[in-house]
Amino acid sequence: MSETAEPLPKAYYQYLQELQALDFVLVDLTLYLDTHPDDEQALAQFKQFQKRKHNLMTQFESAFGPLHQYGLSPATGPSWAWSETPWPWQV
Amino acid sequence: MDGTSPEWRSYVNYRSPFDPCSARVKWYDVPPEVMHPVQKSARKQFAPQEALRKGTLWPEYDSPYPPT
Amino acid sequence: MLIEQYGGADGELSAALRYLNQRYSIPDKVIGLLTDIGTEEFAHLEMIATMVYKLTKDATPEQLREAGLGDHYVNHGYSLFYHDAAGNPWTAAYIASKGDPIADLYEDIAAEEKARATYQWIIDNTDDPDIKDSLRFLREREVIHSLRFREAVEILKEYQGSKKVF
Repeated sequence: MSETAEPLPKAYYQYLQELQALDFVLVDLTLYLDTHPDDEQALAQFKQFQKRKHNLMTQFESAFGPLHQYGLSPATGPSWAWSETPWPWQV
Repeated sequence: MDGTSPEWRSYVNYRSPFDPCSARVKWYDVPPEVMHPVQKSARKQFAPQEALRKGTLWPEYDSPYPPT
Repeated sequence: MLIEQYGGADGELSAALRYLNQRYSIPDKVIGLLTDIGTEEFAHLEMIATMVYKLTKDATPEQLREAGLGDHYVNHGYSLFYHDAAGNPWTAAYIASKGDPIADLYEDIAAEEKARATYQWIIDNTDDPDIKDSLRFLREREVIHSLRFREAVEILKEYQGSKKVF
């Protein structure tokens, strides 16, 4: 791997920041829906955020590689990108 | 802690007349999930970036620490 | 101190394993919640690991010794490990699973309140503002988890077939 990695473009961090917020909304909504399964409005909001996250993730992954393993994220590109740095605790 | 946050309760325990330390007011937290153990509605929410900072979507269950 | 939340009795590893283990024997209605909170705890575990990693990765052995991590360094170098702040290795004795839904949920509520309190004490002992922010986030998550487990108790109080609208 590289000695000192080339700095990543600003877009990388902007994407991650936004993905983090979207993911978090989905997490807190998931827990709410687990105990309030009949709340239709919350469910509608969940679906909305799911779509937003999916779109954002598609953009992020086409530029920076997969976020999920085991085929949950598409394996685009000519070489195996999953093992590439940075990992979350290195960002 | 100045007693203005509704979450925090103060108490003063028995102090012996031989106790060299002066009487100390102590505090404990009764966080929102204890007062409202069932969430009534999902209507009021923080915006996503603020929710991320606070640690929850729900203003009713926001519990700042140290208490403001 | 952070290591207490990594490998300690009331830490994130204990939480994740406790909930994910209890979910096999708990009533259907509540399995989703236990799975979801258990999984979230692993994410928190990674957050703690990240904080410890960032704080220690470039420290000298002397600095680690001064911080009280001398013994850890001898045993583990710069790697992390599942032990509490005193060095006691993680053990399944930290978690309980009685197989009784009410007992298990009350254990879970207690675990979340203990974790919340632990974060309060760590925050009191920290002056790094970024670490404090992360710890405040984690403490708030415990508040929400406790809430959900309390709601789960209410769900279990319901008789079969009746639909409760909160």
